[in-house]
Amino acid sequence: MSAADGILVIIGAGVIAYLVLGGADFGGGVWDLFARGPRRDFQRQLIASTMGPVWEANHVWLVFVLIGLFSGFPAAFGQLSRMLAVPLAVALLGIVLRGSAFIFRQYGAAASTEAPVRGTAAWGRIFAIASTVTPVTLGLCAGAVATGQLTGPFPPVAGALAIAFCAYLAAVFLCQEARSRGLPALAEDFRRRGLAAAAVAGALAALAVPVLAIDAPDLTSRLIDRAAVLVLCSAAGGLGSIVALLRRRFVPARIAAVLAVGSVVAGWGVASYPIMVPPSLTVDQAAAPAQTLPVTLGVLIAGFAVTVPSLILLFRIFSRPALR
Amino acid sequence: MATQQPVKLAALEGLHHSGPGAPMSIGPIELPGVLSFMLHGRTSAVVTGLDVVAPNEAPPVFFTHYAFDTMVGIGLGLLALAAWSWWRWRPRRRATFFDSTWFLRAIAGSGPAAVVALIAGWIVTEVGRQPWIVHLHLRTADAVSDQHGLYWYFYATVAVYAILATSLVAVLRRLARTPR
Repeated sequence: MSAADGILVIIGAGVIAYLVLGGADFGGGVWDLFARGPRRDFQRQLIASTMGPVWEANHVWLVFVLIGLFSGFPAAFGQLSRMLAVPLAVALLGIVLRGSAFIFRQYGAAASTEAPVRGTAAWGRIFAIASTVTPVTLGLCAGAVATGQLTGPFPPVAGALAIAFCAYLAAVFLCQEARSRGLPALAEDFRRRGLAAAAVAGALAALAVPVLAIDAPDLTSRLIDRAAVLVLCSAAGGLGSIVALLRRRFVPARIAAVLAVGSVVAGWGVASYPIMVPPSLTVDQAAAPAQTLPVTLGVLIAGFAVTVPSLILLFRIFSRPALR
Repeated sequence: MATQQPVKLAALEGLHHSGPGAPMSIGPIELPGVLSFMLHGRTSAVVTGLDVVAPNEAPPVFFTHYAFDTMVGIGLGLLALAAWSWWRWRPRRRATFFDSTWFLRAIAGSGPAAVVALIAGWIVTEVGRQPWIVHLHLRTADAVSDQHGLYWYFYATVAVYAILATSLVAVLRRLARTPR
């Protein structure tokens, strides 16, 4: 395996981590937007208190992906940033507004003695809307990277699939969060949402394959041929999480949901290789000069070696209600 | 910097002419030979000035030079503040450490000042490198995207950050009024 392949693996791991962990954060905003029923405010509080401690930490994965692409594959970075200038600008705006709005809402909220600050509710809406728009645009971008063009039917389907994944992951993750805080009614709320989102995400994933076949027939045939195992993993994970949710086994449901979503990205990567940007830009053509690649790889590995344990520690600390 | 990017150094010191006895300029004051001495240990040492490159190859001197002076000035000011703190912390005076309005003002001002110094240093390194974006490899003019509507991107960025900055100040003022 060459240094370029090593950087690709890091980029792929970064995309999966961003989709699974960052996606769950975005999904929390989606459920904030769609908070319904008698426990509406409690749903929002659970989302905010779950997300608060890890607030923007998961964007670190996006940084890894961008730096890996920028330093390792400048030709691909250049092509993609031209092709995707507008949706990436929208996604960036969404990320900035989401992070700021979350904090402004938190600190503007009502203290015990006084009314909430003017504009706090508006920041809440901005947080929820930005959380929804950003994954759609990032999914659109991913679809465009897969097919090599922003037009065509697949990118919008990929955008819809991305937001469905986010909502699905968030709902499944929040079930266990609610249970570990002794809030069974909220766990039921998110269990129902998780089941609904799983059905929608599964249907969209099933729809995405024939649509992809229209836009990128070669990629589709390689996906079915070379990445069949990963496609089956994804289906098994999705079905497994539905079964686990039905039986109220929330921790296995989490693992299955991560498997379902992560396998899609892994399958896409395996099927695309060695094409980086369709129709014809390959990994070798896009790679930076050979002398810089091992350095970039070393830096990325060192970065992962620091970031991964730090984030694991962060998640462990805040997943224990007793310590709060 | 004197060996790797001499023109950048000349810009941040505001040194227009190459030669021995290069002066150090601080605001309107020129200290002859000091720059030569600081760089090479001799006042007679030759220091490269901005005249070694054509005017359109040199970075904007005004911004680079005054940003550098701002950064160094604030840095020295913070050192002086640290010395002042040590002085006020001396034994038998510790009880009255905070009993000086001007000392408290200086402490309060030091936080923002440190950020200003940081930004000024950033201006020095980014503006001082012009017209290159990668020194001697890629010109800024050649690196900029030819994408249409790039200025909309700029306007939108300014607008978003203006809104965020205003909101941040509002939230901070509220927190200052009602500490929790």
